[in-house]
Amino acid sequence: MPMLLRVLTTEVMKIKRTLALWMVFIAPLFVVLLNFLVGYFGADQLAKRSQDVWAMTTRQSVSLWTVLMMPLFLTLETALLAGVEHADRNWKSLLALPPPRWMFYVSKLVVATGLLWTAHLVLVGGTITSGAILSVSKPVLKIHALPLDGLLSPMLRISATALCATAIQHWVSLRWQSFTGAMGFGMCAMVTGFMAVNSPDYGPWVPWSMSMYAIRAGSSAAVTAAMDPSSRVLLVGIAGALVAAVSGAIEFSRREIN
Amino acid sequence: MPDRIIRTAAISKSFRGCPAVRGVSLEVERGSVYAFLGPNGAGKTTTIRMLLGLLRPDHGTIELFGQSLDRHRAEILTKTGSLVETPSVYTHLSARENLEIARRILDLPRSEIDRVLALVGLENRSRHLVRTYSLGMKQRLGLALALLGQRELLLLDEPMNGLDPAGMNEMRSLIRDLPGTHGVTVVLSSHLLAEVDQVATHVGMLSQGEMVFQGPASALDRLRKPRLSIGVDRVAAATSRLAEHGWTADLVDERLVIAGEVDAAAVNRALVEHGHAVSHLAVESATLEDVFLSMTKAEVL
Repeated sequence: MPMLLRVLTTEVMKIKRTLALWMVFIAPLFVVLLNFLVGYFGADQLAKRSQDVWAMTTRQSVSLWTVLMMPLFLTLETALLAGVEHADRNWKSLLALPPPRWMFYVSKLVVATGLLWTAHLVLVGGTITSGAILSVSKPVLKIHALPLDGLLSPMLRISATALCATAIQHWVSLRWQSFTGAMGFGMCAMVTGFMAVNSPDYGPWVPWSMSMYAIRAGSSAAVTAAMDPSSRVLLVGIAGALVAAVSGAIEFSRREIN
Repeated sequence: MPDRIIRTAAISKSFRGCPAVRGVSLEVERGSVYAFLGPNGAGKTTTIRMLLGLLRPDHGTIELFGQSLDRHRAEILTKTGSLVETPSVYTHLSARENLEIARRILDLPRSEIDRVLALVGLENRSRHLVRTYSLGMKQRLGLALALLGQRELLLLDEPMNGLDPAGMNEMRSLIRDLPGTHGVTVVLSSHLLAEVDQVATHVGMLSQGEMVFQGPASALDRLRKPRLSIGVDRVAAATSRLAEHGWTADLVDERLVIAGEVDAAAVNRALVEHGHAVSHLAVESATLEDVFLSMTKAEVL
């Protein structure tokens, strides 16, 4: 087995019995549960308000996840993953092993990304399940079919555009030992993204607003340009993630472990 | 010419302008147990971290196994196990899972895990979570991680930390046996000199970042000059009487001490003949601590 793959499997082993692993299920299912409760207990009102309750439910799930839960999730996950090494100062034994340091850095980033994407799958699966339950238990909502277009397409865009923020947050979490510091950075970044998303000038460039911008731009009816805003923000997000990952790995490889 | 497994050439390291290690040239022979001694803050841990590539020296070069650490890092670290200060282990995993992580990275057979667990005596608790371990057990797990994969060199920084007396004895005998039974060269640092006194074949002494002594432990033994300790009444008169016979005695802790090799019987006879009551007469060797203190003039170890 190539060395990089071996290191990657050990990083996966390390998340066993950690809160980081549990959060992959807790965070998206909490969003699903909130929307389900709204649908279940407010069925009559929802039926009056909207012709297409399923589309509204999925839109709410995706928005709630993208605007609030995902930035917090990213921050918490990367801080928890880094905390596995910061606790007991494990770096000094890990980095005294033969693999080059960048392999550990990249493997941890791959695990963080994997956890994010798994959470997205849980969100999609949970939303479909809750829609199916509501269609049976609340006929007044008239959910007869569960078209996935409004769910899968935005989630794919979010998965790609969130890479940039993930890569930056990953570097911050590994760079400084403080869990509070990493959380503080992530929360400030989240607020910045929230503010920037309304600006067509800054929205596509701020990593923490890219996902919000991507789903908003993707749903816009006025996409006529040669490259629509949704595609542009996708490219910028992925390119930004690569730059952040490579820069972080280089800095990590040169760092002194004291 | 002896086979040097470690050779550093005048390595130095400063932190924010404060020198931690100054021009240390370390030479460790293959098959030896090299004790790296010095008070806290002398630069032992910094030196060991430089040997592992965790820190880069500001000046000087490092060679392990005859190869430059800069250019052959992976090859060198494959053959080098380490335990730096407190054991670095994942407490939410079991000992076996901790070892599995290192085993996968080093690409070793699964049987290695059982071998090192048996070596450090952790077989029975290997499936328990490390967070339930005592510090001594964690230290043993740290040693098992360092031994995984038939390493040729072990760098152990304060390996006796947290061990109870029985654990210390076990660790000492394990370290003592490693060169003979497993062909492992051991470098261990300590500020507890009595610990290494019993296992070291070679000694290096650091003080304020500088090497003040390096050589075989037997060479250090020669520096441990004997002294005669005397318990006697009327100390002032006894001191004068000894001086008349050409012996210079100093009063140390209510006892007269004559440095160097002295004929104890002659001293006893001289005192008794002049009516002194001799209650204690013993030839004592200077401890490693005494030698170290005299070399470094350190106040506290």
